[in-house]
Amino acid sequence: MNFSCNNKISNNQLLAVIVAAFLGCTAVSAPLGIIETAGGGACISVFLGGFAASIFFYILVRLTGKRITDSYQNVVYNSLGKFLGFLVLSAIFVYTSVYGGFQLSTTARMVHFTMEKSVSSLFAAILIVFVAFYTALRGRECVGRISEIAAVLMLAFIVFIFVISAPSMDLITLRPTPDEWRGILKGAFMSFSALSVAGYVFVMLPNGGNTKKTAFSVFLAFLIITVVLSFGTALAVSCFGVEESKRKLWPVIQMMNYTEFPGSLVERQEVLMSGFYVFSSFILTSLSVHISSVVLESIFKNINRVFSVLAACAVVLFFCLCALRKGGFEAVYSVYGFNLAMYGVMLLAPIASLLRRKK
Amino acid sequence: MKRLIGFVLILPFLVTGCGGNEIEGRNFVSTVGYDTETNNGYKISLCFIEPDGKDMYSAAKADVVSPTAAVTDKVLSSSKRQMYFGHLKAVVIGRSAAENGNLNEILLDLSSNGDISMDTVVLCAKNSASGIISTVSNSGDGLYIWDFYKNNKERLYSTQKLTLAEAVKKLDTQKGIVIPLVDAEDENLIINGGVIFSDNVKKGEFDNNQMQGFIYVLGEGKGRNETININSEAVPFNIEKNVSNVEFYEQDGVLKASYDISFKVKRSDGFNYPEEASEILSQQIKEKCLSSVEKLQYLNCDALGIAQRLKRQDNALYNKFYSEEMFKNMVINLEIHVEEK
Repeated sequence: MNFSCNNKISNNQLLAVIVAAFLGCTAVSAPLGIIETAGGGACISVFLGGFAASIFFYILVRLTGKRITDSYQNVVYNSLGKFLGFLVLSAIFVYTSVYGGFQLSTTARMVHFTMEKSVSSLFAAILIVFVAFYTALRGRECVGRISEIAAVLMLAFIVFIFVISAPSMDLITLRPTPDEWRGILKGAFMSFSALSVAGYVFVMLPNGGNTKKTAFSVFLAFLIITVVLSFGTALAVSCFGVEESKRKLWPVIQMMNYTEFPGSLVERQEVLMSGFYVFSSFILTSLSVHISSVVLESIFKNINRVFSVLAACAVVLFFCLCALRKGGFEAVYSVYGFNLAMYGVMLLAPIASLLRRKK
Repeated sequence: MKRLIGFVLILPFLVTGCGGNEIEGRNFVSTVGYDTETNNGYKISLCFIEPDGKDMYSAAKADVVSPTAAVTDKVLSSSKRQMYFGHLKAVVIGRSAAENGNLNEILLDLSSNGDISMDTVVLCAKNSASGIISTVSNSGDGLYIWDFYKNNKERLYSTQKLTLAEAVKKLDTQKGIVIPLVDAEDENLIINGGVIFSDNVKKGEFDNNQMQGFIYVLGEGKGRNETININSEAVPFNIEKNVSNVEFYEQDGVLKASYDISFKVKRSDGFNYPEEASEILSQQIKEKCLSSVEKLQYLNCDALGIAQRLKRQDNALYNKFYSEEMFKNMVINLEIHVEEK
């Protein structure tokens, strides 16, 4: 564990950040469109896509990691020059803020619908941004340390849920038919795209220069997310069937309520699961605000740290408000499904290749 | 900065949920019943628990008429108390709603309600759902159905626990469903037998033996008792394991399904078991299973989910034989294996 205060994170913390930030959020947003596309074989789609994303990021980090000895932003400027660097970093800023804002809107809605109806979505979003402001201000080391705690708690709970739910799984529903394979492959691509949003972990890469170890941490993090996500999707489809899973807003979260705890210890466990999801969202929002703020600082030199974090918070909140507007939820899901994620891949891939070429 | 951080830390205390209804200001709905006896849509009967200062809580009943099957906290507009559906335990479909083909709408409305647990038990009333709700609300704390399933989890004799999740899943994937039957007699609830639905409409009923047979064919007989009669003496067996496997094949241009249903049973202490007991048991189980399958085939109700199984197990065979009458025309063989522990 890294106990110094040098605004650096270790490889283990990087792994924890990816798991904690993206496990909850992708569990909510990813399976929705994939179940619709792939039907009973959605879990296979998630696994194939997730595994491909793990390898994709492993290769990317291996290719670029050695170049990122300074901060990612400086390397982009040094590699691409001022104008191109400005364009790329601006795109990353918009992309990060939009994704963070949209994810925040989903969390705020979930708090409103699942946990406490008397708390408005907007109020919940503002509170999360307030906490994200503090975390982001403290830097990536703070995000890394919180993630270490969150990732362990989340994984322990999720594994427990899976262990008690697995015996009652309906394997017949999950068996794909030959005419579903086309949808499964399409779903795998969607799953790959959904996970590619994690691309902005490049800004969080440890500057240690040990590319092999860092790449392995990233690979492992994605693999953990993939396994948990595909198992969660399988359980949701097995519990509700394909059609009902499509109708549900958060099938994986709602599936938790169906799972019976031994000894009836907890009755509304979906609220517990939503709690972990909100925890994950706190980390993702903090990460979004942090990354947006450091990108902002590198675009506008000499900007005050507090001001940059505040500005990032305002932008994330703005996109969240847009998504919270009437009809915004559907728009968010349609963007989530494919476009935003693909934008992430397109943004990342050229950068990686450029970084490599300039070496 | 410190002031700002202090302000941020104080803010979460505002998210306590205080300001909503207190427990005393809510009615906790435990059971909902649906009838379609009026011209105005549904007659929805609610059994709810009213927390009060004196006895802590008491059960009551209310009837409302609604054009849709959706239930919300505003379903009882005349009451100042909020109707809370977060603790709903059972749904009863009345005979009229079952015969009028309202099952799908009712279950989908319930499953789309975020407050309602997908673990809610679904039952079908022999007569009116309102009558069942009256009996439930008059029998103590209004949680009779929930208690029945909770305390008899492993020992249900001729009924099964059908949850809202399972019911909706079956409606989506199968051409038929069997919903456990509930009846009220002299202020007592009787839960056994089943109501057969095909294409969303009630087509018939299972008696107790057929319901048991249906449960065995599904491979859900674990924990139940099967009693045989020898010389007017009842001799019980405890079923410790029940596994059901099905294979599909084509023979002489006919689609055939071969069920292999195996049991591991244990004798109870204090009874005299003759030598042929196992054989009699096996024969009795087979008769029950055959009776249930024949009835389902006669009504063309694929409550066993055979078409869905065939589609996933042998897609080519499914495509070859698929028709509206596929389940009805299929030849189903049952092989029963009883092993004593």
